[in-house]
Amino acid sequence: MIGRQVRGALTIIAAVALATVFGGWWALPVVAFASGLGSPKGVRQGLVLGVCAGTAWMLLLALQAGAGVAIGAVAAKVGALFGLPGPLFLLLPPLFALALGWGCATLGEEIGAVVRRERA
Amino acid sequence: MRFRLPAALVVAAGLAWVGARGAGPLPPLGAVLDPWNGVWAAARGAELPPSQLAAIPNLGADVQVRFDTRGVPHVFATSLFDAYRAMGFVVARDRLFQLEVQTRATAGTLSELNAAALPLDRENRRLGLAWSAERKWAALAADDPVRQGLEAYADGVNAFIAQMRPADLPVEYRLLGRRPMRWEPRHTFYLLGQMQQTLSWASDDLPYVATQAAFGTAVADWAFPRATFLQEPIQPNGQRTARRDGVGIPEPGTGDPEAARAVGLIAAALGPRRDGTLTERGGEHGIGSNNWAVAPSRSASGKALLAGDPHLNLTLPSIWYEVHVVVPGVLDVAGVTFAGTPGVIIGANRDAAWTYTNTGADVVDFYAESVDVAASPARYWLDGAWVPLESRLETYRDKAGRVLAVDTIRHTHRGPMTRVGGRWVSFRWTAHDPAWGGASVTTFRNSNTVRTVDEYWTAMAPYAVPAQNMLSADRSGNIAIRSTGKFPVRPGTGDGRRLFDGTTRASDWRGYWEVREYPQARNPAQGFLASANQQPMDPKVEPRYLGTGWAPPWRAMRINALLRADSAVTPDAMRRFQTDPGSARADWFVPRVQALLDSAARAGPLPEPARRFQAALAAWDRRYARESTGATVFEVFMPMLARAVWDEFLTGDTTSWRRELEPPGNAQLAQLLDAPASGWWDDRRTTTQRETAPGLVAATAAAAWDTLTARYGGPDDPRAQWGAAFPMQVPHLLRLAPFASPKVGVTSGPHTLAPRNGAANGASWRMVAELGDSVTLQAVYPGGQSGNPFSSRYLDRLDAWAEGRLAPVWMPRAVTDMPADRIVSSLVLKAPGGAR
Repeated sequence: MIGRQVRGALTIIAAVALATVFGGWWALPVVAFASGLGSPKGVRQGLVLGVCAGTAWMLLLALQAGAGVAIGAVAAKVGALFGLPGPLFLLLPPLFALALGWGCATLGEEIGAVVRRERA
Repeated sequence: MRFRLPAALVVAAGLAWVGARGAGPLPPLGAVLDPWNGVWAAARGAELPPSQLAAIPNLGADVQVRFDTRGVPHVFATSLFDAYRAMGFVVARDRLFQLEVQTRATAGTLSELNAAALPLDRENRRLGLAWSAERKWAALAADDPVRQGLEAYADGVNAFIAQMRPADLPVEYRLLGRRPMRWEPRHTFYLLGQMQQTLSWASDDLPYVATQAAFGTAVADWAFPRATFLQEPIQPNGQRTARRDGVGIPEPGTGDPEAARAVGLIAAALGPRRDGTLTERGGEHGIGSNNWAVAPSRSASGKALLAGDPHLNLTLPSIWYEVHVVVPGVLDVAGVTFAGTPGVIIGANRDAAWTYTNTGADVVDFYAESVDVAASPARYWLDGAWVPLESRLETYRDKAGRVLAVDTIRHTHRGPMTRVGGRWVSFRWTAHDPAWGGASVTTFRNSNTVRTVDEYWTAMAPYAVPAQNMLSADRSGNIAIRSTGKFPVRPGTGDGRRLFDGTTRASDWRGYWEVREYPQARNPAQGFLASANQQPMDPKVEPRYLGTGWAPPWRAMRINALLRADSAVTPDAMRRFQTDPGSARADWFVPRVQALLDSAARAGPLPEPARRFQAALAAWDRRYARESTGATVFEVFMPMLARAVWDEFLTGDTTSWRRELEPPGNAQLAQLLDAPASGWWDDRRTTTQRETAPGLVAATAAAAWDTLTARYGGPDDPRAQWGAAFPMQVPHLLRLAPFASPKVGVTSGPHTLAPRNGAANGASWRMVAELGDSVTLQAVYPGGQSGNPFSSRYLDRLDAWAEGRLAPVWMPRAVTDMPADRIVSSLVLKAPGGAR
């Protein structure tokens, strides 16, 4: 059971990451909403989806940092434009993804539930 | 749980909105924070790829481009237009956002990026810069080589935009939530218009007329003289030192009411951006440019030497982009280009080198117009008849395309009109003549292929605006300089510093100086030539009016002193001269200030701070070395002295025409030091006593010392050292503080050869060329080739520039001459269909 949940989470993380790389940030709400819409009846996994989305975005940053991209310098300079220290700015993408992912997934779940009720 | 749906709806919709549209000052956050395609991608695309292949439409044959270890592209093409296409491509790759911002600034469309720029846009369109650029473009026939060259350049820029990867999008676009606009060939004229505005807009008209209005013509003539009091002209006058021309200093007199009525009209026509020119008055921190050349007879190697360092507003990225272009049999030229202009503007080829300083001639005049209906005129009165005005609707939009404002700009045959209450004023400016748009591009293009200074003079003869002191040298050992540009011939006395009567063509310009009449010199007997924005010709040689906005002679005096003292000049000496810490201004002022303090001390004991100031000044070697404290002491004092002396000009009046009064420059202050009895020393705000020069200088010295102590902790504090007290910081193009350079201490001061004006002006490019059997070039500019703040090439030249070092400019003749270890990136630009 746990293994299945982990596999599911990893799948969502991979899906969000790939969708973001190829589709841009708009892919995240689309994937989250679709996941929510398709979630089984009674299963509320908006928060899980949000965490997965945040993790996906964090991994994309880590991937680039590992490849030598100056992520820290970007965070420091662009963060300063927003009046934020670099480390705090670095947290914004995963937090943004988490919140947006949760919101869209939950929206999808609720709408899915309504649709299912209507059909029933 | 019943709130779950509404909460999710609010969060999802809110974040989607902020992500897509932004909120308040926030940009669209989704595109910014996106971990792969957002701002982070700008760092991913910051460095040049080892190799790249790209296609450019209309390319006649493949073009090879190699970027060397300094980030300089070497373009090898088989035709000139292909070279321009390649230049457009590489400049766009490194400077795409700069291209757009510069264009929009002149076109008056910055508000489409940020609505807050609307006032600036309205001002630029009122000046007719976009109108002028469009007329210049329209004046070019379809088969005009200038038009074809600009179209070729645009091909390159647009090819890059069309093919760029997500990581290539400059970070500024991501922050603004914008995509790059298409580059149109006419945009080059916008860019040149911006330079024309920076270097030739405005003149002494306003401060002269305002001074005339306040104190009379005699004072205006002294404060803004047609002959500078120390004559060290660009065209050598045969003297071995600066000649001091004796002029009396008039006392403040009665104002001229007619001039007072003209002040408001001229001020309105000039607009709020009239401080962009390179005149060095109105403050202590002058800027300007230098160039000088040494004949073989005075160089250590027996070769001609040439040095140039144009001083402009410094930004990151720099206004300059370094490039080397080879078209076999056509040109082989290295140097710097403006981002947005094909060809090399300043640099050298295999036979000659050239560089510029701004002439600063008066090329703008103002005309009081009579119109049919003051509120909304359709016609203006000219030679006894009504003449229709040309009208142009200027529409300003925001980033969503919504109309922010609409202006109607009316033009007489002279130029754009501005309304002041019920009156209208027009202006004529050489920059607006459509016939000369092509000439600017043509002359720069032709300069790239000259072999001798004579050919250079011929190539540049049609050049119009902004007038430049064009210095050149060739491998045969010739050196030459000519102040080149369209200099108006005016009616009457020829003086342009007044408001002309617009109702008659008798007020119009009669023509322009002949090229042979321009200030010029070729291979002078003294063995060197130098210009530093000073008066080009000795008025005893040429008394005609050319302008009065010349820089004080301090830098010219210093360059000439250095060159006179060295009969075996080397390229390294030329390099050192460019950041020479000596100051002719300090040499003039310090002994005189000391003498006045001595005089004050004889009348009574000096206050302790004044005594300490005097001791510090006495200990100063008058050099602006980074560790110098004396330089800081002096530069705290000088603006305070100017404010104390020119109290008559600093009225604090912000409502009447008196707000346009501008204090005379330090050349007049320098004269006053030798006239301690002059009434200008009296502080008219103190009605019970009459101040004297010694007393005012002593009081200012004491105040300066107190200021120094309060601001920097005293002379022994490291903060009081010149490099720390007045550091240099190069700002980002949009003034985004995190993208600015770090503060660096530099060896330069007001009116030294590396002059300073606040923190954002200075030598925008320094180069030294030696011309013998071959041409060798060394150069640097503050910043780097890349406009990407996350690139290693964004700031890589700053330290060398701050320390006065130059790097050899590499000019390989062919791709095969370039060893692999000196190439960091290869770019092959393919012709359509794989043509070779």
